[in-house]
Amino acid sequence: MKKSAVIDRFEGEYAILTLDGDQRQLKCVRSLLPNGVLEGTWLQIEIEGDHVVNATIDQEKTDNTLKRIKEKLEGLQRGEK
Amino acid sequence: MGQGDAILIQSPDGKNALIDGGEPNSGTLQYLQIHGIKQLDLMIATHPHSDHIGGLVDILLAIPVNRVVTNGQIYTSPTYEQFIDGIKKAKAIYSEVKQGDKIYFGDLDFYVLSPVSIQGNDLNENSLVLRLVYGKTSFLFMGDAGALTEGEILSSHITVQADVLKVGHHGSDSGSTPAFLSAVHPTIAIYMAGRKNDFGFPHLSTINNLKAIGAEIYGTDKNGTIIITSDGSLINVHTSISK
Repeated sequence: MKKSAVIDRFEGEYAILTLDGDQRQLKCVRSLLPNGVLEGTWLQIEIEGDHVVNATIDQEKTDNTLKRIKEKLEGLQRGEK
Repeated sequence: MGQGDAILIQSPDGKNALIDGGEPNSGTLQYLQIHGIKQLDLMIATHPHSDHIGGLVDILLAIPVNRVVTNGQIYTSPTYEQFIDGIKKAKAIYSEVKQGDKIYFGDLDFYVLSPVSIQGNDLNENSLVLRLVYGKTSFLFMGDAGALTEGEILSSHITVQADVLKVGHHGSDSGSTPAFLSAVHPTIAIYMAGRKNDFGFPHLSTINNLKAIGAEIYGTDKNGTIIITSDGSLINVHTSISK
């Protein structure tokens, strides 16, 4: 099954991923992720059961999400209610 | 994933502050409701990982929150986006703090020891580190900060001594260095880790470092909910599961 997920955080040798939509969390070994991923990088992943078997970086989603949230955060910083 | 931080602080004048809220639906909101806390005067998010801000989203959508304070780090996770949306929906006053700032909280103040500024890609090391003083007693809250932050705080020569230390990063060996613990010199150290968590928290080296400075160690995995009371001179510890 293919899914969209973000790296919520790294914990030692593991990455904790949050799936788009239902926000279920999955743990996978960092070595399975492509080079260049950071906390907050969005991925396209393939899952078998609860296991991530493949992952590629979704740079477009990472950039678009950052842009959208930045606008929201700037609203808060300006004191918009 | 079996861990999270959530710390409720009640001031002598009856105000309520919460530092972090654990994962979404992890019971922090229910804890507040069971204990009759109908609003928060202050909510502090140390950093945007879901095991710290997830439960804050539940609270923002359920009860009035007056003020929200963060380190200002932006993040791309859906949990963080809901957190930002939640602050707006709650019409809470939003502010960002850094080293040298003070967070006013009733007749108590939190002193911000870190970060100096948001740097790099490691969210843990950008955690808000806060020191609270009440009378002759003091408390240090590390968020998930590690050795890098500890070194920066030590080199900035700010007061770090605290009677009670909330150990950084769930008791991970990413921090709690002997040099830092020696400067803090807590009599009581508390780590927050899930029972049988996936990451081996607390790490043995951290426990050994805490033992070496003579701290009495408590952990949420073994002691459940940990309640600390201070009258300004004496500190009392009560746990939901006996030692």
